[in-house]
Amino acid sequence: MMLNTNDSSRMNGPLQFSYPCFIDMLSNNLVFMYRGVVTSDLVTYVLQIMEEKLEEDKVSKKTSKKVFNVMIECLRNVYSDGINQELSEIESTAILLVKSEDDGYLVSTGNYIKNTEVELLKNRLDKINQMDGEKLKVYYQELLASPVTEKGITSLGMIDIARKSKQKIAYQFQTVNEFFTFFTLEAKVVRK
Amino acid sequence: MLKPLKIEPTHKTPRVYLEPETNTFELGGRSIPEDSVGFYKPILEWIDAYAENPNPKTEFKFELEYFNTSSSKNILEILKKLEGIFNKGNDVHIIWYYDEDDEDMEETGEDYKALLQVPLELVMKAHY
Repeated sequence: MMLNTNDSSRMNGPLQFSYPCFIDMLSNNLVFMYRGVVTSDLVTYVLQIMEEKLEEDKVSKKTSKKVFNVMIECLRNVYSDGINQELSEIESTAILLVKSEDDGYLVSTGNYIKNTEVELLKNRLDKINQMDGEKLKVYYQELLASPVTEKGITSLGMIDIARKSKQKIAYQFQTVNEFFTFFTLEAKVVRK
Repeated sequence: MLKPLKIEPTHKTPRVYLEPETNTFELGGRSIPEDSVGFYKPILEWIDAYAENPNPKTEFKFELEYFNTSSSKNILEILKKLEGIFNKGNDVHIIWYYDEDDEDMEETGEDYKALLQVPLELVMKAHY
């Protein structure tokens, strides 16, 4: 099944579209934007590009490592390789945004998930967001030592985001239709 | 004597240098492989073989830059195998290096330390 795509850009053509898009990225301080399938290779390329961008911005090694770690784990949540084979090409693509703010960087990912996955994901995030640093540490160690499951690794990644960003993870679920929900995750790394 | 295991680093995988003859046991760099189980399998198998006839003293150095959570499970497996060698009465010492400005890597070292009995020393690498 296919989702509705916005055809207005095609009608106007790229000549009409590039400038507003550029201005939009500029005014939102977007340093990086990607929409497509997220694979392990892509993560490597994105990290290379971000490494240069953060260097240009004279970001400390401490902050850039945190940004990398948070990006790696955020992107892991939107990996599409073979996980959701029922999804069409459009549905298996994801979005990654990195926004520069006065005090740090905002990393955001978005992807389609099945409606049936929403509750579990929401519970996991709420559980993590309720924990303070010490509780997160205990929970992380507990999951690290427990046998490997896909669920365990997903939670481990989310705890990792919360611990390294030292912030609550912001998220949103937007119902698309009777099958799919668009899941947005946002993590902030404060500049140090 | 067990043949040394040398894996060159890539953008996704760490360098691995395991050579009993020169008492070198090192794993360093970044670890974000797509298939972390596949990457770490030969390393874990090598350590199993080494455990059958280990050196009197094994000093294993971890010098990681960053790694994903699926690698973190495999790194724990390596540490557990080293703990097994230690529990058989051998001298095993693990050194976990972290950059002076990398509190996250220090914290990760502490996480592993909390889960293990084998001596694990956290060592800060200063910038000069």
